[in-house]
Amino acid sequence: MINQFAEDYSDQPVVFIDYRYSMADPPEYPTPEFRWEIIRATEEGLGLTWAVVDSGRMYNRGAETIEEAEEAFTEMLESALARPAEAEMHALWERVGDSVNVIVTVKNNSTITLSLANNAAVHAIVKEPNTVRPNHTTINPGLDSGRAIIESLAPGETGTFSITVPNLDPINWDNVQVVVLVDYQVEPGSHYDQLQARFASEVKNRLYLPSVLRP
Amino acid sequence: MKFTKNMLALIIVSLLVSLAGATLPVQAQENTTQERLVVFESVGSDT
Repeated sequence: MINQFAEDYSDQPVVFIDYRYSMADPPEYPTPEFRWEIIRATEEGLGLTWAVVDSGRMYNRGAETIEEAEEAFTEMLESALARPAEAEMHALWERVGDSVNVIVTVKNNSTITLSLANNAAVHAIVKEPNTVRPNHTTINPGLDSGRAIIESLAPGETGTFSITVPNLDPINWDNVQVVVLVDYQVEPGSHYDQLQARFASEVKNRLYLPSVLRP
Repeated sequence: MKFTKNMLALIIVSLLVSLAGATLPVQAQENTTQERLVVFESVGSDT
């Protein structure tokens, strides 16, 4: 059903990312740690399918029926689409072996200081769209993610962050996409919220400037 | 001689116009709010 939502919203600025969760004890594989930590902050316990927008500002867990899920997901998406971006982001990524290196600039246009106190971070999520992978329930699998913690970024300030996501195993590297986002915890013990997200642009042919032109 | 001067002036004016044309869209971009990208994340069960 989430695949159908992805198709229905394909002409809108929405990206769908699906993580796998092992029900085995002990787990047979990990769920991307940093994103799972944020999704779990929405509610205690476990209930799948667990879906969030805006890093958990709105979520739905364990819908009993397709109708219930459709109603909840539509409300979540429409609510998120109606909000303005509260940060400006630019990002580049480069493949190095089986890793992805990402560099992100974030301008904080919100009224909130992003800091260690509110667990603010820049995340880079690697996905391989239109792919069927074992244990993923949609064709938009998120392979893994990394993050850079924000020590302090006051309203109006711009920061640059680098993130490495290692040990990736996409079926086809040519299909890989990298999504970056910036989020923070609304208050201790509560959910997170997201200021902005962007697709990072891939750097394939790095340009080496002569030393006299380097900043 | 006059023709050469006119040509030179025309080239300079063309250059200035093209430079201005190249600069204005950048300034316009800086004043535009970046579109928000919504991220829908889901965790499904493997069973």
